[in-house]
Amino acid sequence: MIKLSLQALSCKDALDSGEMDLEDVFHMAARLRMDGVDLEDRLLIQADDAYLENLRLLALRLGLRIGYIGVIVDFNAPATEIEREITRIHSCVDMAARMGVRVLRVPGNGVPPGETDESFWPLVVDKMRRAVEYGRKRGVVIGLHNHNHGAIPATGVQVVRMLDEIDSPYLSHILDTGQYRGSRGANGADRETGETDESLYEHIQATAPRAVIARAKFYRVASGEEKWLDYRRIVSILRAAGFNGWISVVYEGHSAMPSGEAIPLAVQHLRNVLGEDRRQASGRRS
Amino acid sequence: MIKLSLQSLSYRDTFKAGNIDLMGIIDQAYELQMDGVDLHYTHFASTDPEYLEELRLATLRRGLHMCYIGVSNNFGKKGAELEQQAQLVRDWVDVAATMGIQMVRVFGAWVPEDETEEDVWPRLLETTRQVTAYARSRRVVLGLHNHNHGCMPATGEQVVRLMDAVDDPYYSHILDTGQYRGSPGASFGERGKEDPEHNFYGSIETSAPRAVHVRAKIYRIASGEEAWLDYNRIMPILKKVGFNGWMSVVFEGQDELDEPAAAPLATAYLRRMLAQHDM
Repeated sequence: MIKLSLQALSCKDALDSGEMDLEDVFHMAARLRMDGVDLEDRLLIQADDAYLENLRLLALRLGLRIGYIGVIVDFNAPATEIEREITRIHSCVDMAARMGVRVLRVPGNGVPPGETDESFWPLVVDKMRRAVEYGRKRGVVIGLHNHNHGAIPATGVQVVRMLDEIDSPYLSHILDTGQYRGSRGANGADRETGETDESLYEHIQATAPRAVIARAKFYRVASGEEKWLDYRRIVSILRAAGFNGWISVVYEGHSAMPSGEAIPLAVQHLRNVLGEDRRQASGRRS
Repeated sequence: MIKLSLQSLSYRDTFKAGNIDLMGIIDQAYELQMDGVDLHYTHFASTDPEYLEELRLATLRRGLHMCYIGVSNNFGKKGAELEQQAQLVRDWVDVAATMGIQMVRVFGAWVPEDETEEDVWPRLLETTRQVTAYARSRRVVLGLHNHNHGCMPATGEQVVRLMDAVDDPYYSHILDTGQYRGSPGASFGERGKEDPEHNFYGSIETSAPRAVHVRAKIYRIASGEEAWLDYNRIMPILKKVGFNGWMSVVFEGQDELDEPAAAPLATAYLRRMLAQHDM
């Protein structure tokens, strides 16, 4: 069955204010009867080994799996920063290996001014290839994360192309439902007034068969249903692709609603959709 | 939500006949849309790193968690034999650590005929402490499995007593629904009959708050419903303690039904039970 996990950054507002710490996020996921938690390197900067080990034990006690650790990438950084980023990716791979976390989330890279997707492509492939090679040595799979905001890969075609060019079992795909070109949530300044383009769902359809984890973005969920993304459609696409893994709930609507109120709504919405889709699938089979 | 995993021992006869391997178990778990697999140590084709890595990658692609490796140790042995048993656990702790599997299932001790449970207790405790220290050094948790058939701990009180005596975060509990003393599947008397002298549902209730994993035994599932264990009693016990982890399907009714036919029935039944109890 498709399982739900909570990306800790969803609680960014409460973590930043000191209202919550990472252990509280784990407990929140358990209270919501979720199946996992996902972490980000920026949340673990001050974490020592003992703290990380305590998180692992807590996850076991609460029936949660730590699905992936994410690496933040500055999409506005110049190309000269790539070497430094690769070093940081290596240290995150080491951390994931120590924690027994199987996947490290890595977006590609920003395309600097004056470059095009095509002209910058080889450099991004080389960066990812080096990350994958290091991951292979430590038994950690790099999860290529589709990401817009001036970065590549940002389309379904680009994700598939990069996966095929690198062609390693240690490179897989983390599909972000809100980060393909055409997504309202990934349109920068236009996001409040823009609309979701139909092409978003084509990108999702193109890469769903390659995904081992899906990140379900939530932007506006006050009504109890996500307004900017059609999860009925997305869940159907994932199921049709045979997806059986974790959907990571990633809340990014903090300007509209605090995470403490929004996350339970997001979880319930996904659960409703997953249940509806399951019932429809049973009906189709019978 | 409670998640379902497939224990490879559910196909023990199929393994013996050479008709399935661990990759087949992983495929089967995916076919049944389950959420994890438990790997019994005798089912590994080898401990070659490339093979272990193949298994890891296969589970990731299929959305399955590797819950634990099951080791069948006996800390009721003595002397050199006892040390061999401890080494067996340490060896599989190493495999688990290599694979990033967080837990290894361990038993307690089978009580020799010329000894009492209390006679065996000190060496069970001491050996358990030693292997737990090793597991801690490899960041692997040992999951104590309750087991009857001459083994201890076979009651909820014994599980709690042993866990409290070891008192280590790397020593936890895998609760087996059919292996407490008095269970129809684990009684000394006629198999299939609950022994009323032992309140085995009470044992489940006693150790449930300690469990990080549950093994759901299935003995008679041909009708589509488990006939020997009452999951309408077991599920509320687990719900009451807020259990949110993985529940293994462990089929042990090979004398009634073929394994390939039983696993889908058992999975569908447990899924239905979990849904009925909103778990």
